[in-house]
Amino acid sequence: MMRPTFAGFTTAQFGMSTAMNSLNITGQNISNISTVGYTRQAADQISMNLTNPNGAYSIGFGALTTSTSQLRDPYLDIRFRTEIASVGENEVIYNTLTDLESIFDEFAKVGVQEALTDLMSSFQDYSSNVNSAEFQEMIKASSDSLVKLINEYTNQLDTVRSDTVDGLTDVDIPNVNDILSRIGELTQSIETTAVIASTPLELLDQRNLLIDELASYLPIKVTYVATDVQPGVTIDRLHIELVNTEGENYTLVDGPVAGSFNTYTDEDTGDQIITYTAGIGENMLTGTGISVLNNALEKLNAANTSLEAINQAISDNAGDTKAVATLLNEKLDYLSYRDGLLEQINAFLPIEVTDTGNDTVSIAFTPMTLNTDGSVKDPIAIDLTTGDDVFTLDTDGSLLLSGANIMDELTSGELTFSSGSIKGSLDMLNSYGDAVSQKGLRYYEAQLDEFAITIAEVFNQMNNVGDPVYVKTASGAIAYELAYEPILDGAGDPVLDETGRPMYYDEEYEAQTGTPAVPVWATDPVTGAGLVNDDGTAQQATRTTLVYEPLLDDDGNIVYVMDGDDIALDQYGNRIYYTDATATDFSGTEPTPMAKDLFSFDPADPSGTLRIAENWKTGLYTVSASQYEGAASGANDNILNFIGALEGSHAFETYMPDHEGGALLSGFTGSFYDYFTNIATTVGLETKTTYQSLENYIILVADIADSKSSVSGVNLDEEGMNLIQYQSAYSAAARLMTTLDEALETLLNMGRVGR
Amino acid sequence: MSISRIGTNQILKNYQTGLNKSWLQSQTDMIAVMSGKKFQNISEDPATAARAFQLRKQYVANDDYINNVEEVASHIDTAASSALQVNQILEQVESDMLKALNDPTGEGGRDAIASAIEQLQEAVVASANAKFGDKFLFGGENVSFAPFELRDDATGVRDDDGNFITQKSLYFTNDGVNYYSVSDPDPLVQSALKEFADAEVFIDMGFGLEYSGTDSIPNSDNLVSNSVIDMSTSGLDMLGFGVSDDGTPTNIVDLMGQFVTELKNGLRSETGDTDTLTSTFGHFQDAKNDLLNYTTTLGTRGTFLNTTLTRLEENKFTLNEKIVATVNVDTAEAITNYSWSQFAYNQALKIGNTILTQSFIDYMR
Repeated sequence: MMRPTFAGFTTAQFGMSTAMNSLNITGQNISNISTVGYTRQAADQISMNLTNPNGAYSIGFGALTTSTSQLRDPYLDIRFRTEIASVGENEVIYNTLTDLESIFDEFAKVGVQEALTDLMSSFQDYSSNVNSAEFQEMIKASSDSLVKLINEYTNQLDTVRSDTVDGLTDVDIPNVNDILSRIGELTQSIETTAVIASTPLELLDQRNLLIDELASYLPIKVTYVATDVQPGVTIDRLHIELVNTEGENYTLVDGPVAGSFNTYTDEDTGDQIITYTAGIGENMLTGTGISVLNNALEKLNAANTSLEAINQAISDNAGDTKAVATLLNEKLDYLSYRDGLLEQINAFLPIEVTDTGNDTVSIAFTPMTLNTDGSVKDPIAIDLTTGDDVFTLDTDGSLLLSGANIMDELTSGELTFSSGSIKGSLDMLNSYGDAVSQKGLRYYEAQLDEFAITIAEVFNQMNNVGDPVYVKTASGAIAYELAYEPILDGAGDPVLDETGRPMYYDEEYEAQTGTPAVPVWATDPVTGAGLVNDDGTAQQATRTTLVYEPLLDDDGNIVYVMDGDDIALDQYGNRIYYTDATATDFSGTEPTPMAKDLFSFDPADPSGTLRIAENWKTGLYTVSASQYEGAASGANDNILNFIGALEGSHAFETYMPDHEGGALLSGFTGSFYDYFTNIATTVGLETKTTYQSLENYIILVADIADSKSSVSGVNLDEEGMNLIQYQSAYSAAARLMTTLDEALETLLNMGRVGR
Repeated sequence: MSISRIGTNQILKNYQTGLNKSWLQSQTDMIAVMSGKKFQNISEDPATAARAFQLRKQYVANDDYINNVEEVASHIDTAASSALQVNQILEQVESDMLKALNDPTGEGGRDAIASAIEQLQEAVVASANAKFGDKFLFGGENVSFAPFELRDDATGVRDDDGNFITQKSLYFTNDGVNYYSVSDPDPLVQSALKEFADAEVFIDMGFGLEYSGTDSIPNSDNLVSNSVIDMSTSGLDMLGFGVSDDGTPTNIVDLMGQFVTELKNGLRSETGDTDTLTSTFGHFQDAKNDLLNYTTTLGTRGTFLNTTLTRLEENKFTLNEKIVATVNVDTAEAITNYSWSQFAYNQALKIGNTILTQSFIDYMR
């Protein structure tokens, strides 16, 4: 077959067209040079050759742009996303550690170390001046600054903790969920566009950028699975999985379906917990998703194939599980023919019913099938003998399956992560810092607590020596203790005797002789029951003598005997207080010496509540200068002991909490100063190490970014050359056309030759 | 990894990263120059920081020791000068006593001598009750109550009117409540006085405060005494206490009292017996020698404290040198570093200018 005369024109036209396409793509590349995430594009060009089978020669028909494609290396994407997760993790840890370092680093600021040396100097000064009150006060003042600094450091640690929690729960997790949902939406658009036209490259760029961002938060695995979306239409469906430490993966994104993360604080352990709720359809499992599902269920009811009908059918066949399973599947299958309702439901709840024998069927969910430990979640087994409904609607309208909330079934347990910034935050918040885990906030909280506990215990023990100290009455005598409650009237006010003094029960509840001005009946202080005399008559309460009056402080309040921070109680539960009775006229309880503690703290938060003991503060006792009773005024042996305790070594040990096994977490033997220096240098070392790994990962990621850029980045030099190349190609194709025109002109003018 | 091509944006990004690093470096170097410190945070050099913290602690502790030594040295010096004062008084007493011995019959003269010695007894007690600051120097462990009191004790000797002659005797107290005669022969009193005299008030002067035993909390019973210095000065040791084998007091004030009584007794009897007086005078001279020895001991303690002070001050200097070497920058080096990083940053800026403007497109016609 001969080649058509005008075929060359078409070739020229194709040539111009492909050159113009390439010029346009070059223009697109140049104009997007500053677009973040833009991937260099190139025309996919082929040479057309409609081969002539009979011809002796074969000339093509020019070039054709078949499509536009991106220049991208998937391997580099995978590497980038793996390494960026490590950058994210180390960055969060580094940032938190810098916050911690600014608390503990006393290289350039005055802090606990100086407070400790001040305290030591106060003791040293006091040791040669034990009879001077001003040196006593200096010790108190130094101790006060020390505990205030410890409190301050604890507050700052709390702030770092709450900032980290806020960063995780209010910023990171919502951000990740937003990214997941945007990836889902973009995928929806990409798939829709891909079905009706060509692949939308710019949307792919946007999605890749989001996936890169997601990868800095979590360790993910991105795959593309060939999926039939319509007969004859296959697309590569995006599939993103969370790679958890157990090696079991959670599907984060499957095509347009994306799940979401949740976070909460475990009330028992205080751990920050992250769980994942699988996506179950076009809408995520949000309020909207649930309402769409419920609408579908309502339509089921309207279609006269109600849940009740299904439940009834199951109930009718109770005892024959195989039949029930078949029936249930049939019913569900049948629904798929009615308005696509089952498909709607399955989009949310892909379920499969299996006969498990023993009068039960099990219903398995496919989107979310993993437990916390990564094992496959057991299907819900439904016991058919109970007659309970299989499906019910909860009061809030959500679907319950045989008593189990679908939401709960779709939500994972606590997740652990192998890398990413979320892991960094969790490590800093939850880790105790044992041999295998990151030294996070808890490690330093425990260290501060241990410091507070040790200094309080050591100093308290050392001060509870020497002369005993008693609560004194106004006259300076030792105040005795009483456990007698004043008799209260119905309104809770003390009942007064004829002289206006409060009346008290005596120790044995003996009947009072004589008649009180106001008869008061004795009651058992524990049961409240009225007491009776031997003859069965009601027993009257006894008024004590004046010496049993309670000791009042300057404000007129009763001074109670304290047991730690609580009022001490006697065997009946009565509060014990001091009396102004003296030893000679009081034959009751021997007074107990006051505890001469220097520090107090609440065991629930030792470092946050470490205080100068109230009674020391108010001056009821002082630092015990001698450990011996009746020592002379200049005896300072116990001050030497305090100096020895400040200089000497103590064993500081922190332990894992009981729910984590209670094993030894850290042990340090040294002075208070050394211990605190050790905390500070530990933070310093951790910060330095983390900074070094962060630097390494950043360099690695920068290298990979360079490699990515070498494939996908726009280079202006190159595009400039492309401009010249494609412009020349265009000119050449145009020249071909004019040349052909000239050739044709020659041909057409042939007739005139010789005329 | 070898890269055959690179995107324009990546070139810019890499340039920015490099420029940023260069800027940060110049800032770090500038801060080093301004602060004079090698590093600002522990994490920049944890090992050196840990060393610096230890040196700081030692420096502050050394200052504490210096304060303690100075305090104790002042205490001992004051005690020594009080003891010298007592010595001078005793010289006077000795000469008065010699006068009395050499002129045993002159009644008026001996009467005057007796009352002069009684006054000097008061002076000795006043010196023994001297204070340093608000502390009594010679109470031993007791610093709050005047340790000595001179009381008129009745003797077994009657005067011409038949009244008992009183003798000024010395009493010691450790608590301001219980007073003990320093010459009470009762073994219980003597052992109590010995305990008071031996009581020690230890001060930490950087000899490495040490406790024996394994208790984590220090207990005075286990204090290793040669790891500390005793600052107590006991007036009982200075003036003497107890009685010698023949029942004579060894305390110098009581000996003076006894001498006065004997003198008065001699006046009344007019026997002119000087044997007893001579014997008492002998005991007095022994006690006076003991007191001189005590004064010398105080001097030795003072010398030792001065040596210790010198050592501690040398330590302070050494520690300061160490701290400077550990923490502070070498200024010349720091400024050179800063200039260099400034220069590097300026060069980086210049390079940027060429990177940013040039591309093939600039050369296209």
